[in-house]
Formats: sequence, C-alpha cells, structure tokens
Amino acid sequence: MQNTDSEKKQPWYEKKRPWWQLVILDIVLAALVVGIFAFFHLLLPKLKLIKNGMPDPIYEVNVAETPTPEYDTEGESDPEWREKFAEFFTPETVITENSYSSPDISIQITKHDTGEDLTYFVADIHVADIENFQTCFALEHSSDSPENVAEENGAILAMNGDYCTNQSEGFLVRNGLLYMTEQTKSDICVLYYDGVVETYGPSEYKVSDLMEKEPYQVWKFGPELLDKNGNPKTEFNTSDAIMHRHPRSGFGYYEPGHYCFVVVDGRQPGYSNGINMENFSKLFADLGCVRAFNMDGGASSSMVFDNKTVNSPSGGGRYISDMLIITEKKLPETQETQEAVK
Amino acid sequence: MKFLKFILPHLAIAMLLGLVVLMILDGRNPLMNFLTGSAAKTYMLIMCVLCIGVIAVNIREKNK
Repeated sequence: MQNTDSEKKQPWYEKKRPWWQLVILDIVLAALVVGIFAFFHLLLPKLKLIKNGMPDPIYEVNVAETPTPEYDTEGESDPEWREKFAEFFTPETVITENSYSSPDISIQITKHDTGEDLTYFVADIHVADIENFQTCFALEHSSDSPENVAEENGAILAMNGDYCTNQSEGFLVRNGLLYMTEQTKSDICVLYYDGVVETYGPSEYKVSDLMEKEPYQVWKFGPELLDKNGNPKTEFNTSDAIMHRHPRSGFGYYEPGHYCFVVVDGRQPGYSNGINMENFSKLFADLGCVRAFNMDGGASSSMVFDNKTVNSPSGGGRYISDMLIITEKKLPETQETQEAVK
Repeated sequence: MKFLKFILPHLAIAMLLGLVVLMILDGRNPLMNFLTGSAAKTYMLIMCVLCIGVIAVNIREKNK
C-alpha cells in the first residue's frame, strides 16, 4: 500500500514505463521536431513573402563603378544585334496567332507533336536589346496565374521561371538587381549584359567572381542541360525523382540576342506524357542551342503568348511567382532604379 | 533536474530521428535545401548543444 502511494506521488517523468511507451514518445517528439523545422524552413518564408512581397534587392549589380555598357542604356536597340537579325525584325509591329515581330523583337512559336505521347512548344526569340528579355515577378500577390503574371508585366511572350521564391536561399539576380548571394548545390544559369549565357555547376563558380562580371540575370533551378561544348549530357546535377518523364520548361541560348523557350506538356496520357532529362537535353542540342537550362517543371510549365496560354499545363497549371518574359517595356532608367534600391 | 535527465535523451533521439528524415528528404530532392538551408543549420546547432547537454548530465551522474 505504501509502495502504491509513493508511486502515485512520483511525477510522471520519474515513473517506470514500458519500452513501447518510450518509443512512442520519441516518435511523437520526432514528428513535433520535424513539424517545427518544416514551419521555419517552408512555411515561414512563404508567409513572409505573402505579407511583404519580394524582398528588396540588395543592390544593383551594374551601377556603382559601371563602365559604359556596350549596348545603349537609353532604351534603344543594339545596332549590332539589329543588323545581325534584321531579317527577323519588321519596321511595324506584326502579330499573328503564333508569331510576333517588331523593330526590336521577333518571336516564332512552333508546336511539335512527335506522335509518341510527346508534345512540346518552341519559341524562337530574337531581340535587338537585352532589356527586351527580362525576368518578372507576380506583382499583385506572391504568386499568380501565368496569364496574370504575364499581363501585369507587359509580356508579349512569357515562360515560367525557376520559382525562385520557393527557396529562401541561392544566388539570384533579376534584371540587374541582386536579391540573394548564397552559393547552393544547384546549377545556375547566368545571362550577362552582353547577351551571352553561361551555365555553371556548383563547383564551377564563386558568387564574388560572377558579381565582378556583372550578370544581368541569374536563374537557379537547373540542372544545366548541355555541356560546355553544347553537347547533350547524360548525367545531371539533380535528384533521381526529377530525371523521369515530366512536364518541363527550359531556356536555350544560341548566340547573343538569339534564345529559345521550350515547354513540354506532360502527365496527360494520349496527348503528352512529358520528357525525361536526357531527352530534354538532346532536344536542345537538336535545336542547335549551345547552352540550355532546365526551369521549374510539372504543373508550373507554362508558356503565355499575347496573354493566352499556349500549352496545356498539367492539372490545369498552378500559380507561379516569376516568369521569363520578352517585352517591349524597357526597365526603369538606371538612375531611377538606383534611387529605388536606396 | 530529474525532468531534464528524463527529457534530454528523448529530445536528442527525436532530433536525431528528425535529422534522418531530413537526410532522406534531401536525397529525394536536394534542390529544397533541407540540409543546407539556414533552418537546417540552426537545427543542427541545437542538436549539438542538446547532445552536449545529455553527455554533461551523464558524466555528472557518473561522477556522483
């Protein structure tokens, strides 16, 4: 009787318990710990983004000791590109169901149906000025439908980007503004002000070195799809789960001023089942690209032309935070941007 | 102190189990930065402090 009384007086944590109760306690605690981690790692950054929108850029890449850029900063076209791609541009703006041409931009969209449950869209792009190629964010909310994001930002053509807001870390430059400087294990794709595109593996670059080269855009999803000689790759810096057939979006580079967006539809048996990473790489090589980079895929994969979705996003698509756009709208003047950043 | 002696080892086990879960998730999708993000770094720091605490309590008990 005395023994029972003393046991009753003991606090719960001093009582002897069967092993299975302790195991359950550990598992419950582990679930709690993972839940708390998920809150800080995934939920909190999203909540912050919803509340505050995209964080202010850290600074403008190409402002402080900027040498005069080779292209005209006053919003006029690069004479070299204009001359080189003269056959693609038109003096007046001409827009059709699948093409657009103006004095600064040429876009030609083609649909490819291989008959093997694979349908994809290629947008061949020529620009006379690097500022006609921008990356934009969803303006009204942290994410929005691709059509709304494209329309809000005055895009003629838009493709989903790297969904940069889904990760709170990375190296991120958008339209010459630096947002993040962390080096991660993902590949990155850099578009420089001179129109050149380079892709880098995580061990092939240092953020400080690249910053000295003044990047115009840095995308961070990946992986890179072509090797340094423009040949298709068979091994990629990504997880196995991403390697299989999925809807995909990718960005290809031919030469300065000449690029392509490729969107592959998937997860729709009978129409298109997506493409695996290896074949996606081959596709860019077949198109003649010398650099190519995989962007966010799955339900995000979408291409919008003239404010209408061109492809058939899987599951009806999803809200996205950023897009690669081709636009006639120039970026704010350097001075204004600099003041805005300050 | 008795409560600490009870809960610290269980918390350490729970955090280690959590770390195993994060390692599996990171293997599945490394792009999500489950092990390299700032939250993961804080997690590991807390885990280290916790493990040191458990060890300190154990040593103290042994030396009594």
